[in-house]
Amino acid sequence: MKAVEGTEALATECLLPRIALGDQRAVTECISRYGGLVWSLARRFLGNPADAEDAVQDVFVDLWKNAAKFDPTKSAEPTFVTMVTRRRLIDRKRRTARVPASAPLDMDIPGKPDNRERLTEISDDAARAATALGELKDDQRRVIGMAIYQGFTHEEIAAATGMPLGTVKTHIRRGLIRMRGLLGGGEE
Amino acid sequence: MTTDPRERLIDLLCTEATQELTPAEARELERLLAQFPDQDPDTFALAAAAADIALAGNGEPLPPELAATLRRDAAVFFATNQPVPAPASQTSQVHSWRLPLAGWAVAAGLAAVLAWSNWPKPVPANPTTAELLARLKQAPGTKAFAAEEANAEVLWNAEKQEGFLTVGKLPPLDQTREQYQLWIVDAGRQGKEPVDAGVFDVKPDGTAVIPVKAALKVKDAQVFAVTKEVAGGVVVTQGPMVLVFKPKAG
Repeated sequence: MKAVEGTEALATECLLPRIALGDQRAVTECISRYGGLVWSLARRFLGNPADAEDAVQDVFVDLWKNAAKFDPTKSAEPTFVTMVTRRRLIDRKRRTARVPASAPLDMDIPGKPDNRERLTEISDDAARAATALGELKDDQRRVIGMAIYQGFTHEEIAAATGMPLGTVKTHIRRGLIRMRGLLGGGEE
Repeated sequence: MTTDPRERLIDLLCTEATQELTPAEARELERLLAQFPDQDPDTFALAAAAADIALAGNGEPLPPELAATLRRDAAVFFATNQPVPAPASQTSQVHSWRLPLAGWAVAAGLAAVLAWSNWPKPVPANPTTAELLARLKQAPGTKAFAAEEANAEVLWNAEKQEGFLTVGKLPPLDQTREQYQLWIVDAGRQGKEPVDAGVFDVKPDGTAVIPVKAALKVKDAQVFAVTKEVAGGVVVTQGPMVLVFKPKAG
């Protein structure tokens, strides 16, 4: 059956509220739209493809269970999906006590996000987030990139950059608060 | 380390957003979140997720075999986590607004008898729908949710557990076979089905003004949705979603 004419765009805009209602077509769309994102995060976090495959399955079950938690006033849907994914992956790394094996950490310090191609399904949200990240101070962006994208612990960042641990934590805190403010999630 | 508990909570949330917490930190975070229930536990994790998206660049496509596995997982998940919809004859007794309407007809008849027996004392007129709508709009805590493509709005007051749905443009259905059904996604019922808010019909001109009464208490309405279902409604929606009402800004 077909959605009422003129409502398709909105109905397909956010998938998680539809999944929360038990709409299984939205589940298929969710896998198509976010599968590449979740898979890429899992590969980067875990390295090993077999571990990543298991983790992706866990993440999608988490998404279906928690679909009703998605609040469109707090974040874009891809951001919520990424948050659920990161939490599951961090938890998985803790439980398995493994470190990334096949994907060595890139020691390049991230600069301002560039215009490289992004996952097409989330390109608009990625562009907005990249703009926000570009607004951070250089040290904040550098430290956040090392922590979030490259997976360094705060102690490892301090050792790699020569910054005191407290300074690393302060950059992360201020950077996240600024990101939150720039993306409309609270006071800066 | 800061000694201000609120500042410490933010420190821990920022740490949790970027790396694994130690067991002691995790316990401390849990305690502080209980102490400051107004603090959104996701706010910094969402900021970190946005940064991750910004830095991720071009990702890898999902392997087709894994996509097929996920679709199978989904079928199993929804088969085991959703109750089977009850037959329409059963649901119409439980969920339809038609029987309450029949009840209203009886009540209206009784009211007429009472009004006659009290004659010539004046009987206060029942407020009109427009008056009820206006009262709800002005009530503290009433929130508005919009589905602009159908010129539709839901006003919902959590304290009163009352609301109004107004629709400006939806195609009328054959009421003997299909009806629209309203649902409430309640953040206070995480992992559970959306709350049934009843079935309704639109007039031939595509408009409707319907009072919203949830079947269960709704703690935190996040989204309203309208689906098209068999006449009388269902317990768990399987029909196509035709409208999604998002919170209005401001």
